[in-house]
Amino acid sequence: MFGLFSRLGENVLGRFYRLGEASVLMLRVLGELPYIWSMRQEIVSQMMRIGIGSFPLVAVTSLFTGMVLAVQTSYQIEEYVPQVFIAAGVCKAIIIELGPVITALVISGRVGASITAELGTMRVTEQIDALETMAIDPVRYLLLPRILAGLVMMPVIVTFGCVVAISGAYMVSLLYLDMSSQVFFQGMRQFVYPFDVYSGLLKSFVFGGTLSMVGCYYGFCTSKGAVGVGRATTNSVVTNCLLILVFDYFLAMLLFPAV
Amino acid sequence: MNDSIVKLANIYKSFGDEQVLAGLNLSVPRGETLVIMGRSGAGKSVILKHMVGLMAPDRGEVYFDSSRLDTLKHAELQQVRRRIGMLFQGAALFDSMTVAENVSLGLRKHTRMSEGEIREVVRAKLAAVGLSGVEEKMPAELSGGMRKRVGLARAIAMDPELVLYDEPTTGIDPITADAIKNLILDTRRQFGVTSVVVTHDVSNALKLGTLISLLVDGRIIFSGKPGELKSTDNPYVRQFLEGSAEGPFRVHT
Repeated sequence: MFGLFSRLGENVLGRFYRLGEASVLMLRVLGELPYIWSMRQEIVSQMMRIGIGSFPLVAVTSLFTGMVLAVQTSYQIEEYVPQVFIAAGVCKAIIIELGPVITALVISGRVGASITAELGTMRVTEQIDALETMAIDPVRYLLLPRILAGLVMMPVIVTFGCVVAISGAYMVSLLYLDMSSQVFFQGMRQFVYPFDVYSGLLKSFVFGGTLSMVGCYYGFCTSKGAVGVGRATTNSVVTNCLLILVFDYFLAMLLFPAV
Repeated sequence: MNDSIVKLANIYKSFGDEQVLAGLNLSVPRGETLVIMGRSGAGKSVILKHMVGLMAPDRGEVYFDSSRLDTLKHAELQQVRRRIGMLFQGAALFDSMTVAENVSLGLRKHTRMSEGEIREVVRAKLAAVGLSGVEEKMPAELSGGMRKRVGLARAIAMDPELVLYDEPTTGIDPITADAIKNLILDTRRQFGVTSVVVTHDVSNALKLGTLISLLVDGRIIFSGKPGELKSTDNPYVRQFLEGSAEGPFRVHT
């Protein structure tokens, strides 16, 4: 029994230690913000890698998300409400929820994992130590560009994903649900407000910061060789998925409070 | 302090319950090549990491020139590091960069050299380690020996006063290893740098060192010139030189 409590205590303390470690690392990143201009090349390079490289995957996942959403929303409520509300509901759900969340989950698997694996490999092969011995601050050189690129590019990727998802929903509505273009766009115009778009963008900004920071933290603090890189990458993806869903709930409570 | 470029005084360092350095004292005289010998896992690389500020001692003092390295602020430590080059055991080349980008990274970050000047320095440093025409290759395309050479070219790119070598010949064939040893000697001759070499290989130590120290149980138990190493009665040194399992070193099988 004592052993059980001891292990539980160690586990809780370990989590607090990691939280503290991550906070200190992120404060160091904040301290490097004045050097953004000198790191512009690396930042642009990471933006290309995180953003442009993700477009094909996001296009496919968003297209199918939009198409499935249109089919299933219609199946659930077409007997009770006019088609214009189906179009409005689908577009609203994509912009404020599914676009940001599904894109963030996909990107956390693609980009968050890749950041962790790359930095983790650099850590265990002493490349990060080599940077330090060359008087190049790895926080400024490696972490700052990745985190800024995540923050800036995620809203761009989510916007792209939403456009593709709505296009998918539109195609299905026209081809299989006997909805006219006029009804679809009327639903969108009437019931999708600018605030919905801002909310979706705010969520994507938060998720972009989360997944790049978590990816960087686990990669930067990797130890114990190839096994450590594998473990860090798994932890990074799991933590990102959990945090994205938890933050999504709190942002929803904050942005859309019950009247 | 004036004749020593690096000095470690009464250093203690532990990792968890394992005490790696226990009251270590070591000086590196300017212009010399100090070889630190010891068994695998004895803490030789830990000493190098203290010298460049990658690790801080639990207790004790580390000096570089007249600066107390272990208490320096980050910006001051960065200034000191520009005067030190390090060759890592696995070369630690940056995977995502070409050979030229690896060698030139420090120059780009810390100098105002033009592209042409940087290209010329890269070419000269690669030539100094016996390489040419590899500037655009990626590290994955190089053999182990070539990676070490590029690592050495990167370590000397900023013309450091002190170069640290962590097991420079481990994991490469004897002929390439001998070529690397010659490079280290040439580097000292050409650039007049002070060197610290960590190795468990006696032939390396005798060929490279102008001074040799033996690390046992977290302390230096012998320091002297190669000739003194060969003639000493110290039982640890004798066992190390003879490569025998019998003696004061305990061998766990």
